[in-house]
Amino acid sequence: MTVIEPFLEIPDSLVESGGDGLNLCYQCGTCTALCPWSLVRPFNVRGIVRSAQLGLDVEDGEDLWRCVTCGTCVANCPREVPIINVVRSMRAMTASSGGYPMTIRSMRSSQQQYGNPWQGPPEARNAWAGTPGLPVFDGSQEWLLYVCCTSCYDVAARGPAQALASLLSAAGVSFGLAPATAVCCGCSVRETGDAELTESLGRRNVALFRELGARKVLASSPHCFNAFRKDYPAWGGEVEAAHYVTLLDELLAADRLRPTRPVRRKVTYHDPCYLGRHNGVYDPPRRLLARLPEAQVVEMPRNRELSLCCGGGGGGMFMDRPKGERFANLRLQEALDTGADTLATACAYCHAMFRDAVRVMGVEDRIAVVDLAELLAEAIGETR
Amino acid sequence: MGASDAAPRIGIYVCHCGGNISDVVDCAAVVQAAADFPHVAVAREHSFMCSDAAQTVIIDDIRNLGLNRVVVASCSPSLHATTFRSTCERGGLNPYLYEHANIREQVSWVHGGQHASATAKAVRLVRAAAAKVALLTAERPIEAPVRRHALVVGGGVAGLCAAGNLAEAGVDVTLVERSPFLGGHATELGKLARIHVTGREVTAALAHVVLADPHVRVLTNAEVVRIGGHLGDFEATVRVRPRGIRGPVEPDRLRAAIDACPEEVVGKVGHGTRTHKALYLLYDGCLPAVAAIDFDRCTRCGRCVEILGRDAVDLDEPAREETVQVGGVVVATGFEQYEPYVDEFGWGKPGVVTLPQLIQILHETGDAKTLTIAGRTVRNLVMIHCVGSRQIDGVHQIPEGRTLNPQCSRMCCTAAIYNSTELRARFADLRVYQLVRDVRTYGRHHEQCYQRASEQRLLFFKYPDHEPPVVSDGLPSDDAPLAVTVQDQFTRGQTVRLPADAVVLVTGMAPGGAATLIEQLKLAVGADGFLREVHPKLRPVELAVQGVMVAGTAQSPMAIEESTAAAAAAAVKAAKLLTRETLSLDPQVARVDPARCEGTGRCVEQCAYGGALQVVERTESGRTVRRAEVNEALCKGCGACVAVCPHNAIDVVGSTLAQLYASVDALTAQEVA
Ligand SMILES: Cc1cc2nc3c(=O)[nH]c(=O)nc-3n(C[C@H](O)[C@H](O)[C@H](O)COP(=O)(O)OP(=O)(O)OC[C@H]3O[C@@H](n4cnc5c(N)ncnc54)[C@H](O)[C@@H]3O)c2cc1C
Ligand code: SF4
Ligand code: SF4
Repeated sequence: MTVIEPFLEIPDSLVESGGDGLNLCYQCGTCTALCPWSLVRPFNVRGIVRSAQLGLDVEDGEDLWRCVTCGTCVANCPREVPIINVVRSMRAMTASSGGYPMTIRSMRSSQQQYGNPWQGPPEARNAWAGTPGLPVFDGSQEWLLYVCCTSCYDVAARGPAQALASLLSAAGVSFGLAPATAVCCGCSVRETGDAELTESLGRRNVALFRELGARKVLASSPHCFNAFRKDYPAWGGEVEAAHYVTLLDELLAADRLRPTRPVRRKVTYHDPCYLGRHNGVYDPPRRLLARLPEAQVVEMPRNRELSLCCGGGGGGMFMDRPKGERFANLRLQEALDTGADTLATACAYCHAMFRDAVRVMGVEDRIAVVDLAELLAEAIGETR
Repeated sequence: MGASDAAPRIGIYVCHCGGNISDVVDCAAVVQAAADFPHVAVAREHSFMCSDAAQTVIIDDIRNLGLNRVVVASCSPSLHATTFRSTCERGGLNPYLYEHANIREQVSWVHGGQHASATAKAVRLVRAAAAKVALLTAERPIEAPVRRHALVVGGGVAGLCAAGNLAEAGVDVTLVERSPFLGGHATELGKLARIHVTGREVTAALAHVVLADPHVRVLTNAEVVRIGGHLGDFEATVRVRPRGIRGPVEPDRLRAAIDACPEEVVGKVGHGTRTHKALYLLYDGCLPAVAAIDFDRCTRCGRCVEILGRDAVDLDEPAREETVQVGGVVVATGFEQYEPYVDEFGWGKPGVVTLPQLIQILHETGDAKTLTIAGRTVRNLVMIHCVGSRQIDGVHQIPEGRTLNPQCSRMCCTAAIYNSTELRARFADLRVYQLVRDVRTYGRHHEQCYQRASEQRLLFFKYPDHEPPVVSDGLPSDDAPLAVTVQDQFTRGQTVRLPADAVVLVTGMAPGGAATLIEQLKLAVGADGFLREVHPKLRPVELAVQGVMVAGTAQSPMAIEESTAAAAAAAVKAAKLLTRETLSLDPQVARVDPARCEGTGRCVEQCAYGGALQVVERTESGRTVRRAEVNEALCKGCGACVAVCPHNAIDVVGSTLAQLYASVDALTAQEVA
């Protein structure tokens, strides 16, 4: 029988580095039961928290890097343990001694070198907008449109950003693109534990926003929105941040967008974790869908607070998972089970994860993965 | 006594109990047989005799048919005899002209399926009741005077609160406290969990009220040595030990006298962690604010007399006894701290202390920057919960002479956790490990205490009921004198080893100082040794002896607010009895026929209720004779005396020998049909 002894210098420093609250845990196991990993393999969230409390090694060290920070545990923990913060601190501590997993390492070096996770050349940041392109924000416009790095550099998925831009134009919204000097919002380094790098990226954007005189920033991705809203204020970034779906919702309500063309699809909507659970935005996407003429909208059984993560958060986007462990496949199956022909989402990670799942599962002819902005653009006939 | 003199006219009522009886007993046949018993004017049956409708039938029959005796054949008399006596009373009939036949517990419930013999048995029981009821006499309740004065035993928070409330309700109070100072254990708790006020402040608030009230007499250093009597009239002998100091003296001179006193006494507080001089104040601000001398240790050296003078000190004050006559008693004798036995979780090793000791040590630590226990700076402190509580036969080795305590002491989780959070807040480097079976921070505002534990980062380990932690000596590599191993259910059941500078045993509450009262008043005690109330829900502060209430932890482990709530309830219950002019007592007690009694005293030997019977000498037509005399308030009407009297000179009202003979004859008579 092994005998273990706590090593409390570890929890001390976890608490220092953002894991404060880990002692609230009374080991009920709710987190373990609800964690999406429990659908695909044994995964002991409660055990991770206990290891953190006592400064012990996590039973399966890989688990630390599996967490997708989807927030299901945090939303349901009866003691309100900030489990994700604890995981982040543990990642940072593990990385400081043993380093990051391979895939995370290359994402990080791209961030350090290019200011984005995809080794994208900064000058190509706005290439998605084509030529002659769209005006860059110069202080004269109302909104600075910040498009997620993943949308900027994923050549196969420019549709969502383009659709969004066209809708904004159609509604007469005054906006300009973030310039090529903008860097990643920082979410992927934040979730994988590097607070320092997160802050240095964040401060670069904060300085840029200030220099340009931007007051309102429109994010194309929930992850960027989350960072602007929750992290940037600490670094002086006092901008009003919005996720695009809330703005579209307002434009529809104000009759500045009039969906008239039929969208003959059966649509089911996937709540991105960082839009729903992390920021509580559940209704605007559904109101938007309800405005699509002739579209039939169905819910998956797990929706809103219980939405099943696509697997892309918390660094998952950059890691390679065995086929049987991909949440996106499970989620896509749930979408197929509703009989929908369209899976709509509002996040660049979800979009990418699901497109992959469609290919892997060979269901291209049964379901399409689209962004809410694309669906609405389809419905906009004449503009005002 | 009107009705009973006239020729008997009996009404008999047979109950079906909604099938409970009638499924087995042929009730119609019973009614038919009863109608033919002697003196029976009417016999009826009803599906529920206790219903309003059926009771109205009895009342109407009394009025319309001139009934002067009633028998109901139904369930047990303990359930409904009182109901039907009051039915008779409402019909204008003396309630003691009633007899009850039990044909449910004694017939239908025990003879299921045997219809014929069950019915025959029911008939016999009803016939016996009818024969007896014909001979009953009308009786009146006995009126007894009540002393508007209560004895409160114990001057902890419960006793103080009960005394204050009784005085407020207009009852005079004598408060007897064993120690020289008031307040009990609450004065030893330091800051209290949840309210962050000291137990001493709480005690002082209660004690000031009591000390200032002219209707309360406070006897400290005093103990009840004899007590007897009954509701309305108890007599207690209180032994008051000498205090030695006559009254308040000027503080500086007192301090000088205490300093001069050469005798150190190991106090009871915290199992002897604290000492005081033979001349002492329990603490600054203790009440009464008069110093006391512990004469068990005083050598009468006279140094204090030199400083304080003979006016203030009396080294020769004798102990005295005084008699107190009261109408009721509130028992508030509290609890004792559980004392671990040798080797119980390392008890006896240096550095192993109890929670009360820790509280005391913390108090004495003052502003020091580190916590020192047994001469060692404490950096790792392990607390083991449930020591002496929630014990399991076979798991906990209980030494001979002690009883297993299976109960939870209720306050210790909160107190342990609260004091640990205080430790963490005061000593930055101190780690506190809580080894729990469960966390029972159960009450209002206790949860915040538990919440604070997380904020202060206490570490919890859950040990299995059947595998308590083990305390051993530390290994050289531990740099700590002690080590505790625990099977931690929170860490996948793994064995966790915790080197420790000190181990705190979270001891709970054991039964307190009620022994004399229990013995002399014959109070009921639960298996756990605490006093047992009449009914845990319906009569939670009354004891089975009428006129005796229980308040606070004499009953079971409680927090202070629960102790004072119980005390207030006990005061109300006592005041309700003691503010009456007289009490009505049940007349169904022993009665002596002076014409037959020859004063043999055999009855007194048999009587189980002290004081209920005695032989007195009195003068009858110029001769001194010995006669038995009944104290109607103490007699329970059990009839033990009746059985032994050689002259048939004593009877129990409502069950006289003549009445019982008649009923036995009727029961055993050969069946006619
Ligand atoms: C470790 C520990 C920590 C606690 N912490 C808290 C807390 O933070 N908050 C809280 O609310 N509660 C706390 N409690 C509970 C609290 O101590 C009790 O609720 C309270 O003291 C009960 O008061 P009492 O009057 O019933 O009994 P006691 O305090 O025991 O008082 C009984 C009194 O009766 C006297 N006495 C006993 N026998 C006789 C006799 N035969 N004749 C005359 N006098 C007699 C005693 O000398 C004593 O003065 C704690 C208890 C423990 C054990
Ligand atoms: S749900 Fe919360 S309290 Fe329960 S085990 Fe998980 S972290 Fe701990
Ligand atoms: S209150 Fe807590 S420590 Fe005390 S006996 Fe109950 S469970 Fe054990």
